[in-house]
Amino acid sequence: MNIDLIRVPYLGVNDDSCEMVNWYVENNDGVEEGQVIGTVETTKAAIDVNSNKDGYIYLCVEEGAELKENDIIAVLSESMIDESEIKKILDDMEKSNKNEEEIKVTKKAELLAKKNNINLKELTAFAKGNKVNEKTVITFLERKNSADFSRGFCDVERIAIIGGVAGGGALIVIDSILHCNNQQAVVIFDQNEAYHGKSILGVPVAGNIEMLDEYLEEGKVDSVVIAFNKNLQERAKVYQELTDKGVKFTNVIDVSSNLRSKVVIGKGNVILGDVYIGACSRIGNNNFISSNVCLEHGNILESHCAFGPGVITSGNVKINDKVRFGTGIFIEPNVEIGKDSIISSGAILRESVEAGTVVRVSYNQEYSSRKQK
Amino acid sequence: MKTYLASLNNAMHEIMDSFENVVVIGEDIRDPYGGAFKVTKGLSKKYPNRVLNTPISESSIVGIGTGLALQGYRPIVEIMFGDFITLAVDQVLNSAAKFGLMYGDNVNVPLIIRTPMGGGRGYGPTHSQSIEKMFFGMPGVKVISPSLAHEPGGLLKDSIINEDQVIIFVEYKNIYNNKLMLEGDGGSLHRYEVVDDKDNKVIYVDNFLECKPDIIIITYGGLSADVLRIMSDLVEEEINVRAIFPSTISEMITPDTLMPLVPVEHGIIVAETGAGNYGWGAEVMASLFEQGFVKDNSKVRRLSSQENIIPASQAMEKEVLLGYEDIMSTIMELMS
Repeated sequence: MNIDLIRVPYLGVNDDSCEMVNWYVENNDGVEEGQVIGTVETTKAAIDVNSNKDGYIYLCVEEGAELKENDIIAVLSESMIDESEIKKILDDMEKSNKNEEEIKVTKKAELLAKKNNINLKELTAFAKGNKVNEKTVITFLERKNSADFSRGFCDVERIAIIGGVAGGGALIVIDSILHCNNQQAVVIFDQNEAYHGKSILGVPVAGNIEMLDEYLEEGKVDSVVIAFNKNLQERAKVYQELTDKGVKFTNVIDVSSNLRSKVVIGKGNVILGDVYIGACSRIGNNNFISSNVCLEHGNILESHCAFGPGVITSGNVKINDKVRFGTGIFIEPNVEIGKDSIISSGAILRESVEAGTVVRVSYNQEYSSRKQK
Repeated sequence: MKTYLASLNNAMHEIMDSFENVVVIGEDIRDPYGGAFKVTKGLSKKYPNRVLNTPISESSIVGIGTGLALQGYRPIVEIMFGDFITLAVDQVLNSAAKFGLMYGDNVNVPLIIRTPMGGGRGYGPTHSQSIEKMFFGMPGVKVISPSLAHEPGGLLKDSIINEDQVIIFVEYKNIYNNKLMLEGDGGSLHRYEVVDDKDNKVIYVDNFLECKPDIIIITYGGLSADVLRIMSDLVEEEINVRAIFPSTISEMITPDTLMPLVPVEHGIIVAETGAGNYGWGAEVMASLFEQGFVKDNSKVRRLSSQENIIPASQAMEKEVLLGYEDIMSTIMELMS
């Protein structure tokens, strides 16, 4: 059956709507191409409606009906049809139009999906043919996150280690991270090319620090920590430069360390095995604290300091920036150590130390070989 | 169902019926023509002595209206196109608006100047402008512009009953034949009236129930057609839009009115049909900032038509005038 639709013609710039004022034909009338079959009237003009080819006419609206531009007003058929079929033809057409127009994903759902990096195909499959709305996306996200988590699809913090290969700093930092359940060392950058291409406890030494940018850009690394601890000027400089660039520093805190009540810790610190930090002590940024260091209660440790193993401070000690400690050092209560100082191994500090001081210990200790009988 | 035009025309009939001192003056307003947009249709048949056709003489029309108002009449004058009101600005600014204050409030000038603004009909550069901003900040002049969510005839009647000053009554020609929202054309939209905002009838419309708006659009007049259509189209898309339509555009909506309508997290669009520079939108935006309604600068947009003359070609006119597409894409931009 060959069917054409006759619609309200273009009404001009003044009007969007019109009234069906006259029909000049009736149902089942034969009409010729170009024949005037009716008139619609706008606020300014009466406009004729013509048949667009030869056929039989069936009217869809009555005289007096209010119409919009492009509304269907009549059906033109090549052959005579039963009037009762007209409604069915129009209904079918409306239905098929509706199916095409039906929204499968609401705009809000689409935007929410985009924000959460969800593929729309995944969503429509999840909705099983139903419309995807905001609620669908939220449910999908909840289910997905919970399912992913139970399978272990979840993120851990990926850390880049800077320097410390030669001195072993990188090793002990990585060792601590290996024992931590939400951090992972993923790469080491070291300036000594001899180590490039090797691995420490499974973590590759990728190259120079200049490669860090590439890792950050590609999203392979979340944060960094500095593992070298001899040259504290350099340690402070690298920390400052990377922080200024917006690189995130993280703390590596060994699981066996013991941080007591209300300890405050900045960023970029390394706190290794069995370190004890007493209640209400404050730690700045970028310090390297080796194993078995004990900083008692109320200590203030500023930034960029390095400790050998077994440094023990009593209460309320203050340590300023860039102080380097040897190993096995005891410090009395309320002592303040000025910045840029060096405290040699075995020292016992009973008084405060000014900035830039080197504390040396004169050993009175002999080494002689045992005579075998 | 009542259109913007029918509401105005009915109100004109009712006003002339109720108030014998109302006279209507303008060009081509008598029957059978009944005015360029038919707002005065049928009036001269019923009240032949109170509907006066004039020559093309906008300054005189407003001048005569001013004189009649001083003499106790309530004249309603029509400027056929808003663009022509420039010829009557002197009469408004230096006479009608000032007499009350100059003569110690012993006289007043209750004059209503009706005029259609806006484009969208391909009428070209001198019949399509929205230049009501000329009257903003003019002491003694109140500018009223009904939207499709208002009842324009009601606002006209209120102006006759309540006002004793100069009213510039700005009708929007692109919506004369649109159906009013209060007559049920809203579909899935919900219309609310703010009861008490001084003499400003603020209407707000939501395309949602029982949740918060994502986007708030503040606009007036002819853009209400585009905004309401956008809101209907976005119901299915789950994007919650609240439109706020003031009726008085020469005064800001009070903070007390806005407070409950503008919650904290949302985008705000302020839209006007006129060219935007130094316009209504700038003033609304400034008051939103001053009153602390803007919490996030990146979430506010001021939309207006281009700073350009308005072409007669409808396709090119569409490029210049603010409309459905621009507002819709701004909503999407704010949402993403």
